[in-house]
Amino acid sequence: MNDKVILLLCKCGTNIAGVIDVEKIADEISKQNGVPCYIHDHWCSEDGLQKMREIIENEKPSRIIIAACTPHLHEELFREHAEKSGLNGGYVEVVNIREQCSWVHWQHPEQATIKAIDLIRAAIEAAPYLTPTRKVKIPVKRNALVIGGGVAGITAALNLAEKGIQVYLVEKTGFLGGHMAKLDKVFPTLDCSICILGPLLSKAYTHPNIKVLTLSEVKEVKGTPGNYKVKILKKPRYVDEEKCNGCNKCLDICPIEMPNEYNNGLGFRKAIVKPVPEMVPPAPYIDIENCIGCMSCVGVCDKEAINFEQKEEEIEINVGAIIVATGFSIIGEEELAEFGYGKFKNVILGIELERLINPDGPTKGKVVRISDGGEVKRAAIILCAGSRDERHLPYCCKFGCMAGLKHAFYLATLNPKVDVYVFYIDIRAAGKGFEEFYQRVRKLENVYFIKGIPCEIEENEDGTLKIRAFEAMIGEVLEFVVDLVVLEAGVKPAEGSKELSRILRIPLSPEGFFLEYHPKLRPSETFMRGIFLAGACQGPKDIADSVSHAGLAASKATTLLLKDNLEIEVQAPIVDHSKCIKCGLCVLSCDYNALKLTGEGLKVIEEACAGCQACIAACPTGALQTTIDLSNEAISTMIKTMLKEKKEYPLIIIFACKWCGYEALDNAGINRIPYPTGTRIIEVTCSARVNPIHILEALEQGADGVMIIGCREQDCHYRTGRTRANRKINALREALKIMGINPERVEIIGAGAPEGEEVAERITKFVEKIKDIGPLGSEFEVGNSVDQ
Amino acid sequence: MQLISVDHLMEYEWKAEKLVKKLKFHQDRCIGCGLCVKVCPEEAIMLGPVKEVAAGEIEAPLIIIDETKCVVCPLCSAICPLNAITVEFKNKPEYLKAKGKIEVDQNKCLPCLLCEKICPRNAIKAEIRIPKKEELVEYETEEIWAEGAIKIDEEKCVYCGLCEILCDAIKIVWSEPKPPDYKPALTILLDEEKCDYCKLCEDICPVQAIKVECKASAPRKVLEVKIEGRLEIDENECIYCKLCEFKCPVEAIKVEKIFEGEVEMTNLEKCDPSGCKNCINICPANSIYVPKKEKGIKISDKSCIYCGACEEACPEQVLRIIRRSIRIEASDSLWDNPLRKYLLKVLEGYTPPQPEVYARPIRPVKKIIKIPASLAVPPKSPGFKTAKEIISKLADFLRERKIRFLLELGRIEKLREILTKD
Repeated sequence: MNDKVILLLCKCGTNIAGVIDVEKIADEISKQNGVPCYIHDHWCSEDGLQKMREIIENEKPSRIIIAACTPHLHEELFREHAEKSGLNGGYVEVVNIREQCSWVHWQHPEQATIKAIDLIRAAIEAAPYLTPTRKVKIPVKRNALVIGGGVAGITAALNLAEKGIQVYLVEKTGFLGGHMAKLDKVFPTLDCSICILGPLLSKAYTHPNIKVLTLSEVKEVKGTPGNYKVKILKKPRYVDEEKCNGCNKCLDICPIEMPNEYNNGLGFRKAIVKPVPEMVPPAPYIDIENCIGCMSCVGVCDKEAINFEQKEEEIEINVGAIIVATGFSIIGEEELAEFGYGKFKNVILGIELERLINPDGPTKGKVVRISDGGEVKRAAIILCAGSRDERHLPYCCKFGCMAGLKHAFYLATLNPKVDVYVFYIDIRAAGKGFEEFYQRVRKLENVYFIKGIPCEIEENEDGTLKIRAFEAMIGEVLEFVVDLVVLEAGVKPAEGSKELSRILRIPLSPEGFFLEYHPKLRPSETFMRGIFLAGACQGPKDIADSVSHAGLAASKATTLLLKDNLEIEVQAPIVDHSKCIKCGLCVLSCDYNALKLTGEGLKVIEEACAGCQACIAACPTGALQTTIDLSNEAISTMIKTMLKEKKEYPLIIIFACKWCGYEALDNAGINRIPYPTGTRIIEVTCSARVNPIHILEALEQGADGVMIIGCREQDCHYRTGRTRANRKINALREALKIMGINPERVEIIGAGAPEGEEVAERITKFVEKIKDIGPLGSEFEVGNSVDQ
Repeated sequence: MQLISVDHLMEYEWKAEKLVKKLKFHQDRCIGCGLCVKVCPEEAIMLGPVKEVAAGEIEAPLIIIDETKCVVCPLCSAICPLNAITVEFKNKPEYLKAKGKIEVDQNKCLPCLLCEKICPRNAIKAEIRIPKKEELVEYETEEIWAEGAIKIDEEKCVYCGLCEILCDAIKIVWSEPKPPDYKPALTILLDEEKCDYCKLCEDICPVQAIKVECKASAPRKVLEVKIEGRLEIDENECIYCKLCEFKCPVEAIKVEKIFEGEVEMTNLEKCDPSGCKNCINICPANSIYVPKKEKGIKISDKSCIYCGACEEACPEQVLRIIRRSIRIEASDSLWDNPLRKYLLKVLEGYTPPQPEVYARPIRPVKKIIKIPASLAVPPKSPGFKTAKEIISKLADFLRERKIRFLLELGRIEKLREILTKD
């Protein structure tokens, strides 16, 4: 194997070549570094890839540097093809000269070219220190876990089960069905909701390949795609599901009544809970917090199904793939206070109206005034309550308009007829049959549409509500008095999404929904290969879209599960025992207990390793070697090369974490948001991987400042990586201050993947600040001090 | 639930296919304090005529249980300080109970008769074995004489009764203990003629109330007196009033009450203890008395158990019991927490924890649908035969292809034409 390094330069049409002088780069690199350069318009095309493989097979280089778009887009593709030609994927390094160069520095093409040359040179010099990837074959477990028993979870579970895959369906509440089971009818066909969902629930509950675990939550997930070890906590139901025959006699006899959470507090339920008579599973559960132990239910149960001996169970399962289908939750009193929800009795949510209309609901299907049970003669429906509102939820809830029209239809066609006033900003009726439904409702003579959301709602003495709204079409303020106000309230991620994202180690988007791999092309996949998303947990959706999304997730999961083996990259580091001085710093830095110092030396526990690389940053001698990230030597070399010929000021080094920081920088590129050209970017696995020595090296060699862009602390992909990085950087800043160097030269920030604008702004500000501080050494000039 | 027997013990039975529950109400133990009324989740208990019963006008049960509402849950039996209600059924779990604590330090306890005499519920039995003094004083010769002086200090004497058991020379005039000082005896009498100054009573007295000086005596040997025995406490009767702890001369009993709190008295001018003695009659702990120089009544905080019976018995609503804390013995069962929420309702100012959900209590309107009964004997019509013939004829028509065709295709006009022809 020779030491040959080859550079492949991509023009990417005009995307790169339009700003950067590609020919100049090829010229300079081949002359100064003696590295052969090949230029192509699109290395990622069929033709490009073929040419790349030819080059590898003919010239047999030891390393390949590809200067093109962001590695997050095509690095895997290039590595795959390199492997096919016999070159280990780890020896292929992609340099980002598009999203982080040509797309953001178009205002200064010369500086952009210089930056590109610096970045490429750095990669070339660091090439000898690239480490090969270690791949292992994991046998795939042909089981799947579906988290969530709503319509999306059930669809995904049935899909998988029909293919012969064993499914564990985990549901947090006591019963299946989610939000869809609460509805009376679904738009636009006005099918009875439980009539179409019920058979699916029963099918899932009794399917031989599906094991339904209700009152259960996922507590811990370890392992790799193809082989996840999951710990589930199952709360006791106190009723034996196998014995119970669903006769409901226990519900009648129980003396304790509590407000019914299933109906958001409308009406009552007993301490033995079964909110609706036909739920699945048919066995009720006992609310042990409120059961007074009178044993009356035991007395009437023919099948002796009540069992107070049941205890909390911890269940461990082994699955190949996980599908998240946790759905959404509806906002409440806090966000809807301005409409009087929580204060005025007759202001209710859309989902609560569904419960009133539902014949199984708290009033057995009669729509009444909540305050006194009286007749409803006039009703108001307010769309976008809490949605499309900067103060609460900036995004659209997707199904609120259609739900509002459905509710208008319900009320307007009741007997006796109700006058319905619909307050809207827009009517979004974009699905199949939706516009026709809208027209149908619009034509009803007792439904009035008012273009304007009410600004004031007051309660009269008799419980009726006075509404004032500005009607935009006629330009006047109108007043209404109604018996009932229905709010089509906004939706937010399901309760516990944050905790689940931490357990599964998958990131959330800024609104809190689970982040998909790509919103257009891969909406059901996440950045973890074995974890998929189904339904509204990824973003607000109606039932039809949830079902499609769930089907896609099941399909993608099947692709994984039907393999016998899965090749995955090992993330754990390797130990060079000859260099290890047994100082124990790595063990201290590891939050996953993946390193142990025994009498025989340092031991790495691969199954526990999360891959954050913080240990590599902590090791003082370089005994710990990375297999998935740039090694310490590689980074040092890159820094040295980037700062060798300093052709601009200020010049800062940016370490960006591959999950959020690097993504945010790419996002700035995609959105063409510019920032200063004096920025040299190095990608690291996690902000915790940044070695303080590297920061000092950077400053030493001429960098005017160093910035670390990681995830937001609470979103760190490795849970505590960002926190540990903060600790290190803050300590370093203090140390610099004590030594007389301005600590403001080093900064650590957090930004989410879609926050390109934010990160560009922060970089621009930082560069401005560095300019004010002056180049390194200004601190010691007469008249300056560190405490400026 | 059904009432199955009435006596001093009223027994109720709740029956279901798989379980029979019994609720036993001991009428004679109930004092009408009303604590059970406060904790019942079904509001199935109502107070009876407490004022009239306390006044001695009638005899009646002091609570009334509504059989249609009671579900035989653990709550009333858990709160009752007099153990007047018990709940029994097969496999009944251990439930928590509002209970006090009573502990005897057998090392300190003599035992003596004081707590037995003091206890308002006769819950303590003192088994005392002291040899008679004649067994302990051994005269060496036939001579029996002694000279000396003996004095019993009645200020110090607590009327523990030990010296009386020991020696016939001492007699205690026992009486009913009354608040506020709860003296169990009127006085202690000494017959000095019988006394031979053996000093055994001085040794045995726990409060050093007896001083004996023997100037001279016939030769004799006096053995040491040892008290043997123990206290037996019936915790089913004990109401943890703390009187025994108050009175014990050697601090051998420690009691924790079920409730701590205070009694609030208002409109005291309406209280006329010369006529009305309701509260004094009803009080289970013998706590209420008429003070010598003040108006109205007074309640001894030494023995009051804050049950609230006096509050219910007073016809002028002079008394209000404010309970500040409750002692609950947990059973570590699944139902401790929910049951506790109900028991805490007896405390002043307790608000039960609100459920997290936005509660709106609406109920469906109950529709009673009546289906009329069908007739047992079907009526017969005179035209039945004719109808039968016509139908048979139509069936024959429809067996003809042509007509059947018209029917299947719905050609009503043509069909009408053909059928009306025949």
